[in-house]
Amino acid sequence: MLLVGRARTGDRNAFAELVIRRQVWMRNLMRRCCGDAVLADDLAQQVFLTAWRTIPQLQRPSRFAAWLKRIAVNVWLQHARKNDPLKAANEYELTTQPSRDATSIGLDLDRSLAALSEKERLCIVLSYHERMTHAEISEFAGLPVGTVKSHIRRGTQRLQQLLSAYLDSPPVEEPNDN
Amino acid sequence: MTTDRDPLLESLFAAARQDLAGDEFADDVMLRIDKLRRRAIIGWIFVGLVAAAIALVLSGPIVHAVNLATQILPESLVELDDRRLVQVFAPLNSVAGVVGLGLLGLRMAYRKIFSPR
Repeated sequence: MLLVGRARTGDRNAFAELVIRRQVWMRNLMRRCCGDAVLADDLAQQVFLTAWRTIPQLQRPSRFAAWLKRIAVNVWLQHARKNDPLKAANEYELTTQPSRDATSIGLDLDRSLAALSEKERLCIVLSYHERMTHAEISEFAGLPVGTVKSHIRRGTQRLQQLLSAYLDSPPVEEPNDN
Repeated sequence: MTTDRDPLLESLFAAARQDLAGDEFADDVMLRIDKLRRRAIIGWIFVGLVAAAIALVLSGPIVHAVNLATQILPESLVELDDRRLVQVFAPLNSVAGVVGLGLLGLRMAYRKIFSPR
């Protein structure tokens, strides 16, 4: 909170520290949203740039994480509106060999998520990656709760189908190697 | 509120989280921020120079307009003989008062027309 307070007054070093502390979370979130590591990093940078420009308007420093997440969702939605999020949907091949390392699991997951519509993907990512409730997702994405629920239900069914290879041997959480 | 998350997908999302090295990323972000700040500074310098140039060109007419305003605005609309009455009614009985009331009316009309219901 102290760092956020200092960053609000234009302290560059404080903001740099915030970037270092939040970058893993932000980049992972954007990777799940867009499925492309390079693009995800670019979008994550845009999120932090927007945060730097608008941080003086942040009223409650304790809400920094939620505020940053909201910027991330907006950046992703803006990007998705300009690009065709479904273009990769038909390129996906079903996973036949379940992976064990985080990078490969991430790739399989991202490819499967690419088969979902932009809204379905956002709802799924906010639910599973951010562990947000339906009401929170509804508020963040600007969608009715019922729509959020149906997006999550349909998205979950599609992912279960695409990632069925993992059903027999679900991944065990291991320490990351990179 | 219920969430009904699928346990397999939950475990996949958890397993896919990578501990990404952040120094290079943070450096890139801060470089872009520095570039933004430099651009903003250059922008403000440009705006300042343009404002100074405009002020230089318009300084004569502006001084003339200010002089005119200081002469015209306190002018009484109705001549009163009693000095006390002149002082009491000065805020209304002057060109400045009429201009002020006019602006107030315009503001009220604007709010009435454009304020959200």
